[in-house]
Amino acid sequence: MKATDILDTLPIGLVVLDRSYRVQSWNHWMTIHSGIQPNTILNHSVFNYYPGLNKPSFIRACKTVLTFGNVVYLSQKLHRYLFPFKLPGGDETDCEYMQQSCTMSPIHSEDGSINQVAIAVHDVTDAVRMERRLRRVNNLDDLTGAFNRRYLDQRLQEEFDRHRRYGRDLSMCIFDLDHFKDTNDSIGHLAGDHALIEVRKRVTTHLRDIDVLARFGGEEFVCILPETSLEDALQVSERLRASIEETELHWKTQQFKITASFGVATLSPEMLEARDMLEAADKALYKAKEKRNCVVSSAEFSGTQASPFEQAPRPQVTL
Amino acid sequence: MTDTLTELELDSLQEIMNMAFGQAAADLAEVVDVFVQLNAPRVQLLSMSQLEQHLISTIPSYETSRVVEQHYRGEGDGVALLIFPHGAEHQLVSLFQPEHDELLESDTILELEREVLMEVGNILIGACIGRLFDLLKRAVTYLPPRCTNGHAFTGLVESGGFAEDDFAIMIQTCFNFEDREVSGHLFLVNRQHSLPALRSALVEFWGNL
Repeated sequence: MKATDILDTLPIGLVVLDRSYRVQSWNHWMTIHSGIQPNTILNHSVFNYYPGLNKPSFIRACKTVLTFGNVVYLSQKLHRYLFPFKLPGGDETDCEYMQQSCTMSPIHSEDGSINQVAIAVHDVTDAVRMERRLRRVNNLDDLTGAFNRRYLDQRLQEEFDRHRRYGRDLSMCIFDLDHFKDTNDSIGHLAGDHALIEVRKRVTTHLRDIDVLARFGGEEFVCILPETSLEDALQVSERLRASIEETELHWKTQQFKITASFGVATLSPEMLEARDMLEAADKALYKAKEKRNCVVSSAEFSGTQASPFEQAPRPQVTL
Repeated sequence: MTDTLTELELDSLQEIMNMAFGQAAADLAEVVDVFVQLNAPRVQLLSMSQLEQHLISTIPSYETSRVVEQHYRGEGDGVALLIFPHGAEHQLVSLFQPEHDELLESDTILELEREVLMEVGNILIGACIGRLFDLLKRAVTYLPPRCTNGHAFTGLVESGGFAEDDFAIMIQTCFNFEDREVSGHLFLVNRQHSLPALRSALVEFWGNL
């Protein structure tokens, strides 16, 4: 084996670019994953084959290496990947493209000048997949797929801190399924589980990506609504309430409906901690549970805010 | 007795630092496309036992500040510390975040902010140290940057192989990102044993002028 052949035996990608971003070296690992042979890409601009690289962060990294002579680390967390190598599909944690952690280093000429950049590409997809899987296990409620209480506490604090920094609105609603014990007793606990799962699915369709739906415990859920005023949070909650009420649930041969009561609160200056808002929403929920199937704002405990609703009937089962 | 630099040597190092940082600021403007103001660096000698007290008295809310630490090896040997005030990372994210915005739910903002700090730190540290050792015609290599906070920093110094009575050459500057209202401090702490190499580089540098 010649010394230069060693590059082709490495289990990482190695690419060398000159100052004009022309490819000067392309090892075997790169050929395998890109499908591009060295004799095809050598002396051509890398942007011809990977136009996505022609972006400020990559150009900045190259200039940093060429100008300062230092090594640049492009982390997977920030950049995902440099070279888009498509991966076959898989489970929900799968990545569309190979996740890469890259190191860019200067290559010095004999006179000490730097005219080339060496890019080492490490495939970290397996580690990323594992991390995502662990996060899912760590953050999600097993039964419903909503976020769990631990994640809720963490995000609530983060959103509270963000509100402190930027002063944007922050609201939340907490809701509880009405007469849930009766559902469990009359139709069975598995039907109750099914109802929780369906409610989570239904509610999610009405929320934005930035909203956080978490199972608070038992049949209680919490929605963190960033950048949402109290008025808007009441409207959202009313939509969620109506959506749950409309949902027809089926369990084996039985058909049933369920309703939910909502407490809504928004962060106000006198609230010094994130949990103060949670407490305010919880108090509003307590009021809502007096009537059931309604939305109550923490700002006004004397009555319902969005619309007065009749007390929900006990779950009706159709055989 | 601990070997230190003479006043004359410190003065000459100060001169070289002024030149290096002037060039670094110009390079940074081109590379990051943002004007980075680097104040004239102040060079002084400190013992490692004085270092933490110095940082606490120099930097407001030092304990909660963010520290990007990057070791360098070779003919210069030491650690560069880039200290951002707590919260600066939020400002820098918009400047350095990747172009594709699809942030996966598994990535917390905090992690991304930490990565951005390390990337910015790597560039700033590379610019300043790179230019200094370029002028001195000495080669250094860098270890990957690490991010921590002021509170955890004492342990890092201890684990960095410094002895308490070692003298460190503190090269201190402030930087500002134009329009971003982000400023911070850069310290280069050179290990004691790199002093002879630094001294000979200084002699060579002035001898060649």
